[in-house]
Amino acid sequence: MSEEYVLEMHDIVKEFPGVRALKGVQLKVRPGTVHTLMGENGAGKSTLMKCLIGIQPVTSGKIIYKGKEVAFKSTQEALDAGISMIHQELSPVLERSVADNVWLGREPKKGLLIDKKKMNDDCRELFARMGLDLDPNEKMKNLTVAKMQMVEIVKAVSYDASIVIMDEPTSALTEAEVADLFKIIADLKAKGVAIIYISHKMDEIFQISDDISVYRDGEFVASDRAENLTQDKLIQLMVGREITDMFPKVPCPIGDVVLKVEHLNAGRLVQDVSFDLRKGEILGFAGLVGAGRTETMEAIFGMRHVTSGKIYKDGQELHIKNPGDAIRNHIGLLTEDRRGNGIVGLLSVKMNSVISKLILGKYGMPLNNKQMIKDTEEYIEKLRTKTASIDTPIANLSGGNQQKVLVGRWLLTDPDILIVDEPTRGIDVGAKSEIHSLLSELAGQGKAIIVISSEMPEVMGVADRIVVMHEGHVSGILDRSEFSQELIMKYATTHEMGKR
Amino acid sequence: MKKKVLATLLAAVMAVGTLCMGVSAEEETAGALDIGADVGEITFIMALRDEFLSELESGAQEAAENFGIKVTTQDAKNDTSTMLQYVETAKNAGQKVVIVNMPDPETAPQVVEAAGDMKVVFVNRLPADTSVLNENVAYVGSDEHDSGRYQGEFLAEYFKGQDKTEIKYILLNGTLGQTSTTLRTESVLQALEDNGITAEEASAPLACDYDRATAQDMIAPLLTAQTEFDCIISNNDAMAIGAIEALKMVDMDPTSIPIVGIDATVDGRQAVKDGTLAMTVFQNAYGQGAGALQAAVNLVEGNGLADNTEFETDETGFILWVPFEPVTADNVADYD
Amino acid sequence: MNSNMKKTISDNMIWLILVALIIIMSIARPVFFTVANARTLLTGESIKGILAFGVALAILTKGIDLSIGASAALIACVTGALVQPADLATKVLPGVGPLPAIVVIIIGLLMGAVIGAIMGAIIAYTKMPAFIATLGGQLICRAAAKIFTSRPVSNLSDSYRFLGSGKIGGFPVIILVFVVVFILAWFILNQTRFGKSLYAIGGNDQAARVAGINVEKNLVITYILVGLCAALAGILLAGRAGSADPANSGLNYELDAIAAATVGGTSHTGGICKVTGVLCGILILGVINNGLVLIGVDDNYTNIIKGIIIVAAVALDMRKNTRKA
Repeated sequence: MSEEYVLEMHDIVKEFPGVRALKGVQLKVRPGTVHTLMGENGAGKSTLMKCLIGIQPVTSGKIIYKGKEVAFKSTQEALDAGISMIHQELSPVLERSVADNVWLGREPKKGLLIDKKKMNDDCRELFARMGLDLDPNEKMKNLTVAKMQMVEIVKAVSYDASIVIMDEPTSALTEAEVADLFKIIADLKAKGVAIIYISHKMDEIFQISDDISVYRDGEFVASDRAENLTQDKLIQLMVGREITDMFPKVPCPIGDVVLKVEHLNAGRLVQDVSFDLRKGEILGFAGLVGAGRTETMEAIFGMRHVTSGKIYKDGQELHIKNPGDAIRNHIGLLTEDRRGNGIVGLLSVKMNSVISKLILGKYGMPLNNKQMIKDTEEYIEKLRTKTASIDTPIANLSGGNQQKVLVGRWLLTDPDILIVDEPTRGIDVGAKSEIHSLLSELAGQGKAIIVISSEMPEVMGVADRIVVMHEGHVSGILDRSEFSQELIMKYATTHEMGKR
Repeated sequence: MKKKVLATLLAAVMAVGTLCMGVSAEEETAGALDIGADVGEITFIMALRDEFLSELESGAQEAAENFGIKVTTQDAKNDTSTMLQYVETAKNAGQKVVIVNMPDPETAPQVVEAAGDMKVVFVNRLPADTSVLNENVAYVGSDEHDSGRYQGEFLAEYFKGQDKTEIKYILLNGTLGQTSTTLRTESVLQALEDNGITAEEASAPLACDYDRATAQDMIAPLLTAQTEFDCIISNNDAMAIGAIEALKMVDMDPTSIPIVGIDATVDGRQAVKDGTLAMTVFQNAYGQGAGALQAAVNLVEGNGLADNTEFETDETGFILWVPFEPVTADNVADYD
Repeated sequence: MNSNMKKTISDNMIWLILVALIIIMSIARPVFFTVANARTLLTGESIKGILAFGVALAILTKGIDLSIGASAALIACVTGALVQPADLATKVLPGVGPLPAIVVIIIGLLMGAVIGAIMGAIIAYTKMPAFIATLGGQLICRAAAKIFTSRPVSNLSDSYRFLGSGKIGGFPVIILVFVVVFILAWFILNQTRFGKSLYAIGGNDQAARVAGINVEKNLVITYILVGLCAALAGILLAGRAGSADPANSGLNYELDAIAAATVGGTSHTGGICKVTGVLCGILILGVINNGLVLIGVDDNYTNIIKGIIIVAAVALDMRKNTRKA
């Protein structure tokens, strides 16, 4: 047993009914380092971590932590031993205060009572250390997703752990917040804490990693010091092939205006929004988190009450009261919160694929099961979705494959307009590139597409034009020739009106 | 993991099975006397399990033991449909006779129909339509006209002793719509009138579902409102005791006015001894149960309904009356 | 055991339990395994079974309906009052009716639909927990029944009683009604847009909404269907007993129905329900009820066994579902 590693995982195998998620993988983490796990979605990184902290038992294999063989039966055991984890999917208690969430289950006590004051004070101190401006008494539900993420990080750090696992911690953070997080990580490293970091963002990874391990399809591929690796080399290791163009933009003819939005108002985050969208066009929406991009799309899609303004499709005014109306008008929306309002986890890949087409009444009564199977299989094939069978519950699929099923769901409704909100969040490089080419292909077929993305290179790569939003207003609309990170950033952070 | 679950479940199923087998085996070894062999098993269906009906049940059970007959009790939980299912199941099991305490006296024809060739003994709750009774269908119970009559006669005597002919009463009704409630209330008022007392209800009609707590809750506000009354009449002891508790709560002396109940339950008899309950009427639950069992045997063996009992039948011969008996401080000791 | 076989066993566990119970009962008391007794068993479980199919729909959407027993009683009393003979002294509605059975049955079903629609609208539009909304509905319906009539409604017309106690060629009509409801429930959940929408709503109502499902409308329809089941149950109850009792008819039936649906694998966390499973749940409870009476087990022990089976079924179910999620 070498003292060089704080954690060693050997030959870890994890089987789910019908699936072998981990096929004997390894991981060795040195104390006081950031060890990044990389791999496409479904490569087994999250599963490996779940096995480590006792959410799921390993089928076989050996875990050595601080020189002793361990097998945690619950996250509580792992926490007690000094391993905490920030999950990719947040699970805050929305109705309780920030402080309550941080100290959940281990509230400081004064006799039998909870010491509220100590809770709040400790919280403030932690927040100060992280440069976070938050009232510990604020209710969790009033926070933005980014702030919730920060609270989650504070919570994980507060355990004084020897290992902190961060699963895509920056997916909802702004750049400033990411910088804060990296400072914290540096602090932790200095104290000898090991960080296991899961991310898909290349620049981040090379900025903070000491070691990188790569996994693919449940197998261990390679592990090396970060300085020995390059971005190209990493991508090659991850996908087992070279990806030449991340954003394969295929220029295609742009036609008439399909969607025209005029002076749309729907609450604080949608104020006087106007833009139009043409056939065959990919319209990017850029802006900071909380700029109102998602809310604008929800308003168009009938999920948010529109107070004033008009929406026209093909010259006809639309009166959309609910998503059903939008779908009947051939508009589709791939939401940003895949688990929250995208998939129905319990239901099969098939039902998740066909549900919207089914709502349109396209399968008759009794339902045409053969057609449903045919449709599902068609898009599984087209989108190269990986699933054990079409009857597998969608929850058993990796994030990227779930996303593909949802894309298939919308394509089955034959949309003229497809709105995709953060389509590649939490998705690996390979799947990302596939989704980008798919968007281009759809535009080529004459569909009009709106892409919301917080990754600037992504919007700039796929879009024909970019609408930039700031605090509920459209602050600028750019043509492809004008695209630059600086200009987008300028509009995203100012109220100034750009070209309309 | 799954094997464990499977094993646990199988074990549970086995346990149920063994329990069942055990019971059925036991049933075969029973039946020492000849009568037991003739009559076979009997299902006794009760409307629900309250104190009174449980006493009735033990009357039937003990009588059955003497005969070497196995009686199985089923609680219909006041549900007619469940009761009918029990009747049909008894028929399927090949029983010769079934004893039924109906939740709803209107449903007697359905019971008789469901019983098919089985004989039926209704107990405690008289069928609404007595024309269903015949040589195969009998009733065993107490004549509810008597219970109220005893209460009325006692109160008339009491008030005559005070030279009072006009009184105000509070009347605690049982469950409205039940025959027993209707008859008890009607007969006590009738008896007061027949004995020359003009009685007026001091409150709006009270329905307390034969329940002690309900009665207590209903009567409390009347006391707070200083309602004037000369006596409290209750359709059963439980409600009368609820009234006594309510009086005590407002520091009124329950012995200062006559409170009358029916059933002579354990609590009721104690209250009579304490003087808080002026009188109660003994309804012979045990006698009804034992009588019903004897009647069931008599029907199967073709005897007269009252044979081997200390009770009498009515003029039709299809009803076996188990008499009510008034209980006061004088004779309460006899009922312990 | 290979994993496929394990899966098959785990998916059909309740059917295995049912078969095991039937075998045990038949050995302990051969008369259990007779056509006559099967008829008795099914007749007895039909009413609660119909309610179970109804309440399973509500549970599928993460809801519940506690009002069904009481609304069945209310509808039994009202429809019963409309078919009492004109010359009956204790007639609840003097001078009204008797109306033809078919008209009365339609009135009853309409009442059930209206009660269900009100429950559904409250649950869907106020987001009130179904437990609370329908608990209120239960109290109101029960009280309404008692206000409507203080004594049992009897002497019901034969044509009205046909569904509950009639026979076609010696076969009880009530079982046929039960089978029809089973087929309808199966068809609705497996072969219609509405049914599939319920699975999506129960699984993730937010996702269902985005997928284009009108969640509120579907919830209202769900509770209308539950109300229709309750109405049918009420009519059958009155028909079978020949009397509708405002205080006791259908009392606690909702709990038995919920138990059957639950034993049948309907998940209270929503999104999981098999109509065939519910049928199996109904039969399991029926076999226990009927078999233990035949064997001569005192009903207190019957209830203990039922209690164990219900809790065990849910425990099993929860294990299965946590594994999936």
